[in-house]
Amino acid sequence: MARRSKTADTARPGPVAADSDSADSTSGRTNGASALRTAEEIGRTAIGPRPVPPMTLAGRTRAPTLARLELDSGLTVVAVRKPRSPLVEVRLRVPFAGSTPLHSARAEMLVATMLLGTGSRDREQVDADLALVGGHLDASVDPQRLMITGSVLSTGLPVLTQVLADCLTDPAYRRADVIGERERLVEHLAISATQPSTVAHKFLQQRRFADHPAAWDMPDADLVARVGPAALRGLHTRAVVPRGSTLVLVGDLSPSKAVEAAGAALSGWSAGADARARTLTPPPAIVGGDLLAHHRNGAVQSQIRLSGAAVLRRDPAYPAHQLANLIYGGYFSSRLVENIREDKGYTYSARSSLEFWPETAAVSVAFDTTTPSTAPALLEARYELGRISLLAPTAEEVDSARNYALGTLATSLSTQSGLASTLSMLAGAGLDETWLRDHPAHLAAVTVDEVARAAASMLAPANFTGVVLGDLSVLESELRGLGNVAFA
Amino acid sequence: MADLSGYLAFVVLASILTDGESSRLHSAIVAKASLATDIWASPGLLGGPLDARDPDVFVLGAIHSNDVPASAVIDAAAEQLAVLADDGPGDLEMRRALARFASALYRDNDGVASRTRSLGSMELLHGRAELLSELPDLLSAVTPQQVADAARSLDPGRCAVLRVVPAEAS
Repeated sequence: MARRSKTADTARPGPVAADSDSADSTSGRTNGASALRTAEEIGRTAIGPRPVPPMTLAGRTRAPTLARLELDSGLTVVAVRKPRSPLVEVRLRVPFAGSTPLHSARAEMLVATMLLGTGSRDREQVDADLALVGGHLDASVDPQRLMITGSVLSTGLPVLTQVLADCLTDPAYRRADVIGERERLVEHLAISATQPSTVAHKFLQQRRFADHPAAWDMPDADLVARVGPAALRGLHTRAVVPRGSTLVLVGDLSPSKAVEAAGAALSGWSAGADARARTLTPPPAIVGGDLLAHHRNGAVQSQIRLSGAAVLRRDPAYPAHQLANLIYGGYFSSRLVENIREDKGYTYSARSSLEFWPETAAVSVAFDTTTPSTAPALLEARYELGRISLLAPTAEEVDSARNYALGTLATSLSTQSGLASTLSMLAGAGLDETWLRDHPAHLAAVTVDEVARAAASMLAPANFTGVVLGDLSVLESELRGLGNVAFA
Repeated sequence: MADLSGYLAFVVLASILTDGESSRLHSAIVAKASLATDIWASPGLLGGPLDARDPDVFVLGAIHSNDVPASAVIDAAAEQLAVLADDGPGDLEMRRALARFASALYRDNDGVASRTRSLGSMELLHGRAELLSELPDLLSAVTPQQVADAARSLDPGRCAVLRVVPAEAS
């Protein structure tokens, strides 16, 4: 909505030209010796604000110049110079898959406690040492990887890598810290288990992955409550290992010096020659089928989540699939948003996105609606899937999605943190920085036909499975009438 | 902002009180006494310093369990403020606060969209877009005495307290 009114405002050169004739003393000032005007002057002149210049196409993206070093330990260190701000962004990605729900509970506890002290630093000292150089470190985990995210004033990079090395090689897992974080985590899990979106996500994971570990991105609180320091030390020794892991450094640095220095600082982080960070086993392919409806007592809102098989980033047809997803529901100007939000008001936000696991990719559609709008919104979402899978999108739709894809990629790569995260993501996907150069070129070359073919295979309604969470005492008969819905 | 330097003393104070595990209130109230599970402090209701025109408010927030009375958390915070008012911050504390502030400022404004928003907000609220790049230097000019004075001015007897209490589980 805002988008449209903005276009209307800027596309009126007539009145601007007319006003300039009647410009009074302000024009005299702006034509004076100094061409610079303050923001206030610009806002107040009779001419008014100048029109916003038209959009230009995103420029060509080059692959960044980077240094790469593989250490004897098997850790890969990558550094890129990007001196936009006097900072360095740090990402350490450790593949961290497991095969039991207990692993996911322990993994969640491990990231909550691994940065809370070492043999030589208590938890306050870790933070104090980082603070002095404007640094921070955070750890997180999902079914695929453990990630340590950090940033620091560039002069403090040696201190940050030293603290990181200390946490990796000599973590304390002090009992008091472990118990404290465990209570906090159990409470957090209890709170989030009451959130409908969390419940819907869990049901979706079960629906598409059954009991494959890819489904376990929320640990079981009862299992978390039993995790103690010994289990964490054991898991750390076994699984927080350098072989297969990648450290990315981006910022105000010299790439070759930075990889050498980080390599030296982390040289003590080692494990047995056969110890390798564990990659998730490929989850089963996502198979289309009935949506499974789950009852939520007295719910006034419903959650709808659909998911179907997509293609991997390395697939030559990936750029066309990316654009097909954008046109369907991947950005605000998409068909799904236009239909169920702008036109019919069934939802506040609706979106579809692509997700990736080893050898498996998914397109996932998510929106929440009021109970009375649930079945109609599902009907429209399916209608839009059917429409885009059967009828080719217009050239304008493809161009708009392409510009959005190129523009958002350029925007995210323009920041130190965005570039660091993207390089780390690529390392996890088995790709490298050449993707940053090649992918925009591929996006630019995608044809309408290719998008239509991608949509026909990926967005056909029969490709999807999913879940509905809501008050089934009200919804059941409508959902049965709509069809392709089973009831849990 | 009538007294920018005085205001920035509160920014430093907030960092010393609650920025990170080594901050005074985290250490005393969350880690050692276990009175609260989380605690935070900052000038401004909208999420950050300089996000409002003069006068602004200083907000101290905490999440604590129902077993702990709110007064226990507030008293413990007041006690730490009194110590800071009497003894002032240490040299290392000042340096940590400045480094953390500068790196967060650079990081938050590294993106062109967020930098543009920040410049616009500084211009609209304070008439000085250039304040954004001057802040690290201005902050480093804040003295320990100013921070102690800021702590002293936060009179626990004059603060407004908002408590959000969960309804009894049904």
